[in-house]
Amino acid sequence: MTAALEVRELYMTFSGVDALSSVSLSVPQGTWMGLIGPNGSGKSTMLNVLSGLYKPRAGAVVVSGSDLGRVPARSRIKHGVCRTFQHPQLAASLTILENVMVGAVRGRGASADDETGLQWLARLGCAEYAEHLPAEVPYGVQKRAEVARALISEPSLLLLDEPAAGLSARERAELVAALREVREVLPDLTLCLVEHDVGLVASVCTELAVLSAGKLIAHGPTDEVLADDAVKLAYLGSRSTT
Amino acid sequence: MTTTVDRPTADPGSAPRRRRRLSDRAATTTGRGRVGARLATLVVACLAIFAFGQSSTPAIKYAVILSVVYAIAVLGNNAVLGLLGEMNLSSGVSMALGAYAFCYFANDGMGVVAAAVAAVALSTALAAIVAIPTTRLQGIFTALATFALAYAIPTLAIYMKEYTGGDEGTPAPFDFEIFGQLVSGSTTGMLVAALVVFAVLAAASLLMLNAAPGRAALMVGESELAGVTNGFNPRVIKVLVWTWAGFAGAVAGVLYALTVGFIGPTGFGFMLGVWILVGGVVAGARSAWGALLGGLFVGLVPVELQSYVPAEGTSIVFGVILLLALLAGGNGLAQWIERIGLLIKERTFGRKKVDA
Ligand SMILES: Nc1ncnc2c1ncn2[C@@H]1O[C@H](COP(=O)(O)OP(=O)(O)O)[C@@H](O)[C@H]1O
Ligand SMILES: [Mg+2]
Repeated sequence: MTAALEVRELYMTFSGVDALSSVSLSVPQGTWMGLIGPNGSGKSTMLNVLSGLYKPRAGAVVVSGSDLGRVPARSRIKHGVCRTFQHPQLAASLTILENVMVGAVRGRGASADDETGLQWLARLGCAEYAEHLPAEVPYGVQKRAEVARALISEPSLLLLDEPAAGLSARERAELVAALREVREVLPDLTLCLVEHDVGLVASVCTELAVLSAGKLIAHGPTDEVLADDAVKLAYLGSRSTT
Repeated sequence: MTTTVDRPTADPGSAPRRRRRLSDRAATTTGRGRVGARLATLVVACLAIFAFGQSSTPAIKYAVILSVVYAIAVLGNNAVLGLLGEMNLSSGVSMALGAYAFCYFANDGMGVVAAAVAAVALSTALAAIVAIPTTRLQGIFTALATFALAYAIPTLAIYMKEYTGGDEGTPAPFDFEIFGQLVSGSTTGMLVAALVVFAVLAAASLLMLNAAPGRAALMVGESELAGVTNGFNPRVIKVLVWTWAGFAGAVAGVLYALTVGFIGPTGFGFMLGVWILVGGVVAGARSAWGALLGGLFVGLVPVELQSYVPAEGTSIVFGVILLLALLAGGNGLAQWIERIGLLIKERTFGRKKVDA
């Protein structure tokens, strides 16, 4: 079976510094993989390469069997790749629902209507904000609206960049519940979840990949990776392992 | 894919259907939504300008007609400003292109209508070509590039003497009539023609702002990254918006030639593009009817200034006006007028509730 995502020998360099160095991994379809690592370890860079915003110096990104090397960022949504951003990227003059519906225009869910958008917002617990502008809603709602916008494009590979950052404890709990619901509704969806909160990642992801200074230092089932000494040292060393 | 998990909040049966409706406040700050009310306001504003023009002296009526012509250019420029947030100082260039091409074709023996269509088509095509490199730039660099273009136009017009008449300019006495009405100078036919063209383009831009093209442009203009990852091509969308501005400018140029009856390089100095941009900022870049206010600003303020302020002082007054407009923030005068309207509406509704 072809992997939903396969990354081979990926290198990304910023002015001589390797932000990603020889990263290879394979993620089977339907897997929810957490991508963790200290600040500056290359997690966002990884998502930027996967979504085509950055062009890697070397290496290949293969999604469901197609090499995306020559596919520009704007065409990746057609290949089932969609993402959210660490800092919400919503159009300020569009309502939350209109922002969500943007994902349907060029995505694979092109037939999705407002009701579908509302359903996704409802599953993520923010349907009541549908008619508001981004500036009028809490940060947590903005972040979840981005998730809804990604989901309505019917992705096969969903990339979430720190969806829980800046959320209150209650919003985090809501997000986890929402993500679990998404997994029930879309069992075939492959998720790459970048997150700082290891507890949150562990509670929704069955696999973990750990980046440290641009290198993949571990990849495997969540409990095994969390028990790994190298991981503890590189990432969890100074923190309690929630 | 079919989805079965539902929460009561998403139940379309129990929720109001008009989910795309913006709240009054959101509509005021974004300039979107309430399309019916906005179209009505647009018509009323056009009728008011018509009434004002008809009841004025020929000299003032002429200034009003020119203002409506400028309003068309402001409308086009507002798309670049209001959707993409870029400063375009070359609207005067589009007007010059439209006007010169129109006069050249018409003086060359083409019918007035054919010459107008050809001139607008040619100018729009040129605008699209110029937009391709321009949209690679951003912010101050866009402003500078368009400024350079605007700065070069009078010199270029003199240089291309064969087509433009050089320093002496080109006469444009076409005696063009629609329904027996002379469309020229300060005639009623000219006023109506300018207003109708303005109203049609303003209505079109209002409808586009609230439909898929407007949403795509706003997505790219307000968050390019998300636009890209959601499948939009920012370059194409930006070029289209700039081309629309070039089109509106060219239309304004044709009407300018008909109104003035003569065009020369002094009519399209670099300050024209500046005034058109500032007119949009002052009046509100997201408001279709507000473009009329912007046009009046361009048509009346620079001329009127001359009679109150010495020539050296105009740039100071100009700077103060721009500063005040920027400080007022948001979407300019049109938005403030809408806010006052909203306030009155809220007060009225409040009183009704007390009465009931
Ligand atoms: N656009 C960029 N230009 C230069 N350096 C960058 C850029 N993006 C990321 N980096 C660098 O790459 C490294 C990884 O950053 P990032 O992927 O944002 O880390 P993370 O998301 O894991 O916190 C950091 O050292 C960062 O400074
Ligand atoms: Mg990051």
